[in-house]
Amino acid sequence: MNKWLMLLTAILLSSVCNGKVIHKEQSLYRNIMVTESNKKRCMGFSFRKQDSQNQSCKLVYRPDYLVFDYAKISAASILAVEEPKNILILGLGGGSLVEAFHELAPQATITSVEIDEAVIKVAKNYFDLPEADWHKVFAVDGRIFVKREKLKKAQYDIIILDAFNGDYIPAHMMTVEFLREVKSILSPNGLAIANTFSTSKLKKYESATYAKAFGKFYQFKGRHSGNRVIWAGNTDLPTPEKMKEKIPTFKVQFFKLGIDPDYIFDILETEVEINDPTKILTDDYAPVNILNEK
Amino acid sequence: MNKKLPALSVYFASIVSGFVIMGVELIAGRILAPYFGGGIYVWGSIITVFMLALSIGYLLGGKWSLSDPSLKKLSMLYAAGAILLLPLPFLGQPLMEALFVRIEDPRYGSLLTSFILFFPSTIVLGMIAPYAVRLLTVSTQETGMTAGKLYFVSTLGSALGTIMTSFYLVMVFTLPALFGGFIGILLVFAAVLYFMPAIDNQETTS
Repeated sequence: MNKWLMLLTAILLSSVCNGKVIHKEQSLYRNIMVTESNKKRCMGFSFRKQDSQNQSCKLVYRPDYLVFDYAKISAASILAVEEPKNILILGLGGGSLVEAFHELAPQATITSVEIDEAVIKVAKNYFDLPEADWHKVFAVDGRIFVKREKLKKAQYDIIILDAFNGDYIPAHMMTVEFLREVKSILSPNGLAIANTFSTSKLKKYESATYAKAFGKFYQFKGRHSGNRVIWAGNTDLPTPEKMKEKIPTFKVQFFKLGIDPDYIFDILETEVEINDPTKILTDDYAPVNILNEK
Repeated sequence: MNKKLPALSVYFASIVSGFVIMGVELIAGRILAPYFGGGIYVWGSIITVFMLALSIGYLLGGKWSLSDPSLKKLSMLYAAGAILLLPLPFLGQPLMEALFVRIEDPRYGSLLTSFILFFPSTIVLGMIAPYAVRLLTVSTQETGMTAGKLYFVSTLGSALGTIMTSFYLVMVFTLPALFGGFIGILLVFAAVLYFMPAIDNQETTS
């Protein structure tokens, strides 16, 4: 077994399904399995418990709590954006970020995009995905959605890039062309947030691609997971000092969501070294899924 | 010169055309993804168009083989296939841009794009197989054997084109470079077939 796989297995072991299977569903894109233990309910993309890594989890007695590291880091972006009005989430899962952002920014309209209708259905039936006037869900490929929003000249203050196809991010949603499309629908002070793996062989390609599309960006490498979350903006991102000033405003919400700001700022890296700026991923050259399997 | 060489060159050329057809089909998925996504319907569109084009190509190739078949004419199919692939790297972007704005449903957008981009070249490449069968056939009894051998090599070429493109070539080359490679290899075989002496069917069957 190769090193990457072992590392990933070790990291994900904590998030592998355990508990009783309460729902199974086969969709056009994947197998979806909902499991529940006495503590949490989870959505995984495989029928085999041992390799069904959880895409989304919810604590039974504390449904607001964000279980995953990357979700906490993503939600903490509220510190970097002033009064967000429009939030876009590409890749729905169980929809825990939808509720988290509604908690943090009740004034905002949240748009979720998920290619798989079945995932939306499961999120509604088993994860209480909110059906409200502040939340819109579209069943369409994320890249197509962003392109159409660009034509409509739509603007979002926060855009979460969290589309996964089982293995990793789909190739056409990692390229510099895609990131430029995302950038084009970001409001002037908007923030794009991407969930990636820090163990991926693609890491240096991803860094170079984000640098090419956005210029400077921040990154957070989770200590409790293999996630690397990227924050990239249309303009320069606010300094950590500036963001820390806003922590008291969200104290209650952060407690509910399980976000520890000290931890977030501990793992924040404001300078990311780009080793090889030529290695960018483009629509013409994106050996994404192959490289990632190495 | 080896008298079996002309017939052998037809077999090798069939491997190549099989390889190129599937190679192009696989990178078609990558070409369409930025505009129409990575949904199952994108592959549905591509495979539909390729199958339709091949079926028409087989019919036309068979028909064309009725009148005075020759290696030189076969070589023209390779050259024509290459020429029809040539505009794809340039035509693709603006065409998809235009269709994306006009067609809301990505299923029909990807179907129409696949049709315009890949239908003509795939018809021509599909004509090669039945034409090659005619060139290599010596007697009525052996028609089945000849066709069997040709299907064997061209489908083997298709399998190779599929695995090489999806596993390895996309890791090393950009899409325009891959197109260039496919066009180049078709042109090389067009030249090889063009300058090959006529097949001496008496010798090749012994």
